[in-house]
Amino acid sequence: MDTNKKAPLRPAFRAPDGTSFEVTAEGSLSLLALGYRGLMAWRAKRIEVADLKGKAPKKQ
Amino acid sequence: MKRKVLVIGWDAADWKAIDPLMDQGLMPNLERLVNSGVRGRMATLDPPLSPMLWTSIATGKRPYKHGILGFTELAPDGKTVRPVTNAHRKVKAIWNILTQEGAKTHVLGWWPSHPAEPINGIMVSNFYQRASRPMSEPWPMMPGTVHPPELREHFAKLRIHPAELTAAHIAPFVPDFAKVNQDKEKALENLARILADCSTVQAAATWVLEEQPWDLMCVYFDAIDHFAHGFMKFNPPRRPHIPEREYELFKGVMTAGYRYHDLMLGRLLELAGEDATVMLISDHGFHPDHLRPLALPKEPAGPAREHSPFGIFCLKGPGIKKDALIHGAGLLDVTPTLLALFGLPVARDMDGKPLMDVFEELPVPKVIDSWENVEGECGMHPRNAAAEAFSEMDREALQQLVELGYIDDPGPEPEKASIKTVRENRYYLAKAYLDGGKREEGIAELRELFKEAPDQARYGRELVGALLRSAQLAEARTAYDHLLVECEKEHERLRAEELAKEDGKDKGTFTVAPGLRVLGSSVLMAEGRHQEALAVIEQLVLLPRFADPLQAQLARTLGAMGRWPRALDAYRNALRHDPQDVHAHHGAGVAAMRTGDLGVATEHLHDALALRFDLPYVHYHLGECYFQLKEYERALQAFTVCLRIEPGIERARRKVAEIQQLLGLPETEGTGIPQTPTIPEEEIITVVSGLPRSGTSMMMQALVAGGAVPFTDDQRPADASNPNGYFEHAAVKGMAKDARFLALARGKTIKVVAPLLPFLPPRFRYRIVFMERDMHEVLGSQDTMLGRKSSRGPKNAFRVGLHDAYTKQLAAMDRWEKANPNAEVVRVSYANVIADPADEMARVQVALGGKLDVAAMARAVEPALYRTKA
Repeated sequence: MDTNKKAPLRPAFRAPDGTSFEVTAEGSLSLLALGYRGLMAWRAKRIEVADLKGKAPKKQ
Repeated sequence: MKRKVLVIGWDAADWKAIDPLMDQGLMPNLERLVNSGVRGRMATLDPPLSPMLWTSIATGKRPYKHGILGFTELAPDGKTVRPVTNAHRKVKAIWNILTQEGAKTHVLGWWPSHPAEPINGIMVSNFYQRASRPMSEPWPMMPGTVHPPELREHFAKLRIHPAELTAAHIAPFVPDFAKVNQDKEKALENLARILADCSTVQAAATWVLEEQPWDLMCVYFDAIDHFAHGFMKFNPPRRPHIPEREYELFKGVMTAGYRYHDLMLGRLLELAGEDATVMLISDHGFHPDHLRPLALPKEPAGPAREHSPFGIFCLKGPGIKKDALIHGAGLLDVTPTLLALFGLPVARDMDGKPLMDVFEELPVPKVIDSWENVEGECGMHPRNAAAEAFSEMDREALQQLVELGYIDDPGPEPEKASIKTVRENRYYLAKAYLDGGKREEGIAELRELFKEAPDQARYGRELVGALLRSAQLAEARTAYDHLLVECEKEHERLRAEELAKEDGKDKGTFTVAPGLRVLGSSVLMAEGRHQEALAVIEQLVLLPRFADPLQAQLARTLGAMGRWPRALDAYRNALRHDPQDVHAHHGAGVAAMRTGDLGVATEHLHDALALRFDLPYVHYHLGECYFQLKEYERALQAFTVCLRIEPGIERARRKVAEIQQLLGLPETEGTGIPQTPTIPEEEIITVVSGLPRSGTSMMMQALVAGGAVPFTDDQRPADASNPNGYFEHAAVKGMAKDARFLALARGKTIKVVAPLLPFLPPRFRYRIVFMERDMHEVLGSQDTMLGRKSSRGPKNAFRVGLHDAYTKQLAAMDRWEKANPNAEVVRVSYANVIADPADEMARVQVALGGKLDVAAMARAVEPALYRTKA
């Protein structure tokens, strides 16, 4: 069976159109469009920000 | 190299909406896909309802073969209604075939795909993404959502709840979202739900692409359809009935929706890799322009009126043409094309064909009869397996369909809803039959439906239309008149209900709605009452809202009257209104041909075929054009394609034979034209017909002498006009009302006068011997016969107006012949029979199957009875 080369998780997030962007707690459509990696990064950021504020967001 | 294929479904995506965005550079990923492969329009099926269509896409088969017939189905208890599942799918989908072939296959979100099938890969069903409760509450996943089940928890974590989204997600769609009163308006809530759902599918798809080996991956997004049903009405330009405030708030939703899909596409293309083959498709389009309906009918699936008949098709990958256009693709072609991409055989029982135009080098086509009989584990649920019982999650999905307006709220009486569901699905089945050319099956279902629920005008409308298309004129008239009565009854019922209310307003007396008047004009036209039909349409086109939409109907009426230049003008007007109107292109082609402008005719006919390739009569008329242009090879090709689609069109078969003779080519064998299916002789009814006194009794006598078995009751005795007998059956006279007796005439020969031919039901196969005799001789012979019967002698015989009436009947016979592929007609000249009985009877004998005794037939002709001469 054919196996796939895994797409590398790049150090900086880039939108599918190639532009880079920052992961913020508010999130963005570009992050969602990246799929599960974007989703995980966004959720991690929200936890990080909430921790800084001393308040964790609800887990999914 | 082993091929990997990613199939992405964008429900309702439409080039009419996409092209302006690509032109502005707003969809760069799709542009890249288009430039590196082929693109085209993809014709949908009727009815254009997504669960039926996506199942046809995945199986290559029409709904009456695959068994998925609507948005809802009965739960196993037989009483309650639930959203459609895959439990009723009767045939293998592409993922089952590839599972059987050992390929790693994943399916995400396909509609309908619940419960997930145990295929060789991952399947996440279409019940996966929907959040059913507030974010603060648990979000359980319905059993059967994920295969293999051990990945269930993993996929559950990839779901995005609408409440998780923030202003940063909503603002690109509705920049002034703060102005929306969310306590009163649901628009933002709906938008967030659609966005969360499709982002959930994207999260799952990207995980599979990144973490799992794959050969075929199918992922389906319903968001464009959902955005469009909610917000396309606000798309620019603003139409007068759209409030300014809502327009300003929501005018950017569709653009943002498409751009978001382009972003998701970019990520999927990246993960699939450069070497992957990628197919992007939609099941139908969605009018973004002046064709957006002003209002939707208040009936189940009414919102489907917003759909346009053409979806999108893109394909790129190794061995696929680059930056190329393909024409005439249909969604039944998707699975055959996928099989060809994998080098697997296409099945003869599939209704589509591989799109060979996409390949740089034509693959060697492989064919098998059916994949259904191929043994091996395919991951399909066992036949008739019912999905799990109705649950809370089902109700949520059902509620969404209610909110989208696709189905009525089942309300507090689920059993009533179940009756409605069964009926509605039968209606969709009937439409699918008609769309697939199975007219009799469709008509039979519609007859029953209209009988059971005469208050449902759409059943009656569809029945009348189908009867007209199959030239069953008498029943079409009866059904139309019945429909008017039922519409009036329903109007009076609603009027009384309204008046019973305290603040009720009187709806006034019943008037026939414009749509019904148009249908009535079609009935009149079919009856040959062209002037009356034209008057109805000419009156309606004076109303501004009908001026454009009715141009095609006006053109058809004018064409039926032989007013071809005016018909061509009207068809051109229709095409200015909707350049994708296939039937207007076809009509314009025919009209131009009749006016002698063969260049324009071929252009229009080619335009029609570029939109829909599966219409046999468009190919036929193109063949006629080329034949007139003396381009015989092209004509031969067009007639050949016509016959491949519809082998029963005898006119095309005759043309093929004529051209083969002209070009000195060998006969049909080897040209790919299917032979007309052999029908057992005992199933065929031989009909002797013609105007009264055109020699029908003589022909009956000859056929009986040659060995044919007559279907006669011998009630009418021989007389001086027909000394050898009439060979009639009394039941024929009542055929317009009851034609069931014809079942007894199979394998026999029956006499039916020409005016009654249109009442021959299409469910039987006929060979018609049509007697042609000089009209003056016919009338003279009738005079003589009537005079002979009258005690006052032949001088009192009456013939005023008969000539015209008979001429009209012969024209009606021509129309009937063209509309009935189940009848083969051999025309026999009375004069030739008299002049050379042996020669003419030999021709008749061949046309009737070659089993009669020609010499005996010829001997039965008595030239002495040729007494009335012109």
